Amino acid sequence: MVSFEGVTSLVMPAPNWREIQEHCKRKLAGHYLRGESKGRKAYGLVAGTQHGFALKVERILAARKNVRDEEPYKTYMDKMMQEHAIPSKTPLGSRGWITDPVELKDYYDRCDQDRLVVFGTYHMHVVPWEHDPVRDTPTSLDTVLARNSNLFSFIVSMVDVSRPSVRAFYEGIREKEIPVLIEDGQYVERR
Amino acid sequence: MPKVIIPSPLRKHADNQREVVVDGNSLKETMERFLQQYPALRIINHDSALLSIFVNSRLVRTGMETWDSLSLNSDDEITLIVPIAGG
Repeated sequence: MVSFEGVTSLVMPAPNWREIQEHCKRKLAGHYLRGESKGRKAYGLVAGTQHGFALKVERILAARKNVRDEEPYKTYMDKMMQEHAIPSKTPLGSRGWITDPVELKDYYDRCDQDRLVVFGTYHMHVVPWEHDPVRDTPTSLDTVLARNSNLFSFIVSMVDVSRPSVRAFYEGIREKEIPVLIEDGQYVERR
Repeated sequence: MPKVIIPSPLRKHADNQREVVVDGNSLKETMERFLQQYPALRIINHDSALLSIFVNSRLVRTGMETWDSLSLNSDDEITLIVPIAGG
């Protein structure tokens, strides 16, 4: 089964969750890898295995290159921002991530080789909004960008860096949330 | 015959297959036949300017109007990459 829409549970081993947090914290601290796009944005893929209606995270693939400012992506993303983004203190032109197709193909190929499926993407929300202080749910822009993707959007709240949290939504739709179980040895905790 | 490689998120539209062999001498002919076989994958036509196609490991940044001029060999692998984006 490769449609993820009916999936009801998702387990993320604690090391994978730490990997996401470290990626987010590193970008927030302004520490960049060689060739990595700069900015307070962390974006990546989530891959693993499917067991009926359950998913298990096995690999986090941090995206390095954001092609958001390259054509034809810039025109597309600027339009999406104008039509769907809620104004924030981050300027619209600085928001958004589009994964480089070369990097994306490489990640798909590597997952295929290791018999893993890509079932999600993650990105962080950093700035608290008056009506949404935690920012752990998809924005309307997130939902539009995830449309028809057959992927879970993992929203990482880094509003309080000392208390990060993650939630997962099929195609970025709030009503299609599944619980993320962070598994640490025998201990399973809902974050 | 050329092979079309389908990324895992799109496989639900293609009977869960990773690759499909499609007869065609050009990218256009191959893609038309492929999309005829799996019409649900026509969703990739949406914002087609953003679709990236790789022929083997070479990125062919393409709008569909250029597909006709791209001829294929029988052992070519075509990979479809739909951009993944977030706010």
